[in-house]
Amino acid sequence: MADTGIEPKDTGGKGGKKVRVKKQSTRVDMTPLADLGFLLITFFMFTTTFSKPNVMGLNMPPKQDQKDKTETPEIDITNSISVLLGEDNKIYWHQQEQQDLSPETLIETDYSKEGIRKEILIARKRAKDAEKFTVIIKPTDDSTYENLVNVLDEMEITQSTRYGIVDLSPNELSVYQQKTGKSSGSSSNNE
Amino acid sequence: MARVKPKRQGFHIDMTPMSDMAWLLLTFFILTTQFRKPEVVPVKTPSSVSTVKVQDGGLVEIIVNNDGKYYFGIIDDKNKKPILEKMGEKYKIQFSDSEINSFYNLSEVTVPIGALKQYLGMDPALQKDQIPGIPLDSVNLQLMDWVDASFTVDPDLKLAIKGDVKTQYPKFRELVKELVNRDYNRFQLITSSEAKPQD
Repeated sequence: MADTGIEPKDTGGKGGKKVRVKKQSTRVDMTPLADLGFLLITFFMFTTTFSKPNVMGLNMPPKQDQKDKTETPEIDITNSISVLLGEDNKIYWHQQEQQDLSPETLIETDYSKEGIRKEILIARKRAKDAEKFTVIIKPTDDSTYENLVNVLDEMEITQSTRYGIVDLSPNELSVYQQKTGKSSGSSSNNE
Repeated sequence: MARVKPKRQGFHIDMTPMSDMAWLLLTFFILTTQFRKPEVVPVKTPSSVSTVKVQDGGLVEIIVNNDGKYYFGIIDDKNKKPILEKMGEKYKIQFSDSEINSFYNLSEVTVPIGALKQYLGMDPALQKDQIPGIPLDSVNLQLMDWVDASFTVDPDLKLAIKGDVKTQYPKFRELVKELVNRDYNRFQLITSSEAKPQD
């Protein structure tokens, strides 16, 4: 491309005259340089934008005195759904008063689209006051951080803005243990 | 007379401006890229549909790995020295300049404060194996001291929590409980991205 062929123009004058060389053009082909530049640009652009992880906001309620904690306002039971995160990526839900909860009413489902997401949407449709519909997330000690993030994700997907993360009540824990058969003092029919 | 044949010209485009521009952009990208320091603690974050990207600076990070050990990462280089000095003050440890320099190269604090001085003096290759974590239990809330020190240095910091897929929930609950106890109520959970399902 950089055509700088030397053509001695004048071979004539033999007597003492120096051979004149045609002036070479100093033009350098810039194409490879531009190529290399763009290649590196592409590399840097990819590494900057795609290495960034995402974040998910999580706000916890400010701490309260023990005294206040016991007086949590009662939520109308149809306006809420309790989601229990269990062992081995299992997930359970119920819409019962504490005392009515039994292994039969604690329903197992899964993290798929047809699982907990559907249940939350159905429960919200049933709610007397959809505005106040609250999802109560109760991760057991057997669950993992991934389970929690998945459920928080479902909150985002189902656009449930009202949700809270709380611990299981003792009654729920025992029902959960009965359901999973993990109860330590397992007399089979203790009811 | 024969016609004068115009001499065939080589087809030339001057690439110089293009190349100039390419290199200018390149320089810009090189200067703005912040290479991530090698991560000492491998953490596989769970995925979420959140589309909010993690912010560039103004962040401290608590890492909980799959064993439930806690680590503390300071993202901004400018905060590293003051935070370390604050911690040194509290625990009566004097760090030398070379140790502070070595601290700049850490992406996260992986050892208890008592062992930090020795850790910073170590060969970087050996540092990799030293990941006992920062204590956080009923008798020793050292991790909280790191958080407190960071927020004394820069009150505008944000608190990010990076957990592993396999982190047991009780470890996370313990962490959040202690943070809420100290009135840190807003967290950012670091996740990897996942497509939002269409419905």
